[in-house]
Amino acid sequence: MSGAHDNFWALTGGYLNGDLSAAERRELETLLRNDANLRQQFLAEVELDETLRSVCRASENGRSDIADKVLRSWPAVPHTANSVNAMHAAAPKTFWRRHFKQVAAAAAVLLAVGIFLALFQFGKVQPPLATIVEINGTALLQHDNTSRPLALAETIGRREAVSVAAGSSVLLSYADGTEVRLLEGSRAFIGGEPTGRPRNGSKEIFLAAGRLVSTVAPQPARQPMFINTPGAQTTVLGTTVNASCTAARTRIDVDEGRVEVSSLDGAHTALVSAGEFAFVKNAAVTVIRKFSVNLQAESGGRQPPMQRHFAAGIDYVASSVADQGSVTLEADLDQGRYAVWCRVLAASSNADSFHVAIDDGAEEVFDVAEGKWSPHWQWSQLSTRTGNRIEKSGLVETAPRILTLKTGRHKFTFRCREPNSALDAILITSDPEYVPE
Amino acid sequence: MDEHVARLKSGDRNAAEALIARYEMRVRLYAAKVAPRAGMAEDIAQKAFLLALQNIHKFDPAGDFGVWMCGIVRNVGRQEWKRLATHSRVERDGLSDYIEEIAEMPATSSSEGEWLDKLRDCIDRLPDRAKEIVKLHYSLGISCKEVADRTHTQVGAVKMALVRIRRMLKECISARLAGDTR
Repeated sequence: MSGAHDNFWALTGGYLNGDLSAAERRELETLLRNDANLRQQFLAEVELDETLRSVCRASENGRSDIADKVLRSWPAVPHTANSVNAMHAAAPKTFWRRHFKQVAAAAAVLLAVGIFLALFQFGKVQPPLATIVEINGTALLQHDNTSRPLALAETIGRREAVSVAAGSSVLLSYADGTEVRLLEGSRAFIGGEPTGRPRNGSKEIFLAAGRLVSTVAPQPARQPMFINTPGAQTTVLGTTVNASCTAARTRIDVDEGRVEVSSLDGAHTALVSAGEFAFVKNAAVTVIRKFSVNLQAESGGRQPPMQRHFAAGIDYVASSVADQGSVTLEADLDQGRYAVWCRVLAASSNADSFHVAIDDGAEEVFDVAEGKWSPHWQWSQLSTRTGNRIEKSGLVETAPRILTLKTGRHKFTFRCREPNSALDAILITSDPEYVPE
Repeated sequence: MDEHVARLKSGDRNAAEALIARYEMRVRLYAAKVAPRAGMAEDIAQKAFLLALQNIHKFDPAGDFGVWMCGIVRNVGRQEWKRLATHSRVERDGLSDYIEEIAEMPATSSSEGEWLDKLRDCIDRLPDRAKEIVKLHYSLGISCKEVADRTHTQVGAVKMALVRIRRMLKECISARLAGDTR
């Protein structure tokens, strides 16, 4: 394939991912204008991308949900200004009709704004905060002690909470383009904590439980957006940030830009940048840089009879002799705490353990699939035996190992314990909550 | 006139679901071309269908429902551009206008169903790694960056993988439509 063609495909890929720069968009436009064949290929690529989205979503959900969403909203949603504009733009109009309607609309808008400002001045009306633009599944709108199903295009005001059912999600949009997606099991007060004092002009969300993903448009310097939880306060000036909370802890992940995370009492504060996440637990804020490395077992140094095998498209190592043969994998790591996940094959209780040593430390038994034996590969977190047995099942009780390591090169040695325990790869991550799929 | 449109105009709301099913794929494909960002086509299609149902009484029975929908989709798409442009420094540019200009509402195709069947079949035949990326990006709607995080690769590698996957699918569909069932 020629360089020009490679460039065309790279630009088309960038267009579909929405990450072309202005110069790249101009370059793509020039290519399309000058080559009918590329135009055809480009449109086919856009169609295939959208068809994949549609077909895969339908496979995932059992069916396409557009009809469901539209029909659910149809009787409930009145004509909005936007809908009127969109329809009118689509239909031809006479000069008189256009001007008559513009004058009438302008008068109505002025009247509404006047009434709104007058009422707002006296504190009788709260400004609208966010509009529901997407509902996947089921969600409730709660106000005081009442609740009812949430509807598309509804505006959510202060002291109103949105509760999202399992397997569902809700997308809220603000007038400035800020978007917040509430994920399953979430409960959030869109105007901030119901008992708190509203901050003048700032957007506030109080996430009482669950998880949200937000893309925050640039906010005025003195009016940042606040994303609060029962344990923490996050100040956002414009970035992509995810928040989740349980009763015990709050977690803030930052994809772009930087946010400030504080414990609720304000005693501990930290700046969290892109690629980092913060835990707020027991009023302490801990910032961790996201890092993970995946090491293939077959690339490690092996001591016989640990051997490399290849089956069903997977390269892995295993030894057929009990307690003999090992593989050592090495990684350069920064100082920190790490979880280690291992992709293992443990078909039975006779083939499900290694002796594992970190650097020159003592070996510990790693039961890779205690009670979860399977003929299929699975991810298993590196663990150690606690010395107890689980009542009823009699299985060995294990506890995950979180390794505290210094900056430098580290060795992870897996020595065979039970024959035919197989290892495909290990994943070392700084995220203690990460679970490979 | 489309029988479902006729039923709707006569007040039979039950015809809506069948009407949406009939035009959904074509509306989505056109929405994908006028959307400011990939992944917004579903939202635009949804809003366009809602507007069409709310204003079905305005549809001229002598006209083509697909063309009418096309106009609504185009205008909803323009509104989305404006909404995003408010504060996100996203501006409608020459490329957007040009794509809208060259993209027409896809014509009805009797082989659409067969093409979709082949596509599903070809997705099943992808290598496991490719299938995983398709699932994360297309089924779960996860961004390339997050796919890279989850699969522990670089964002660039995920983007290139998507280009390769689409190419493999196109070749597979062409081969299967031509009768090659390997």
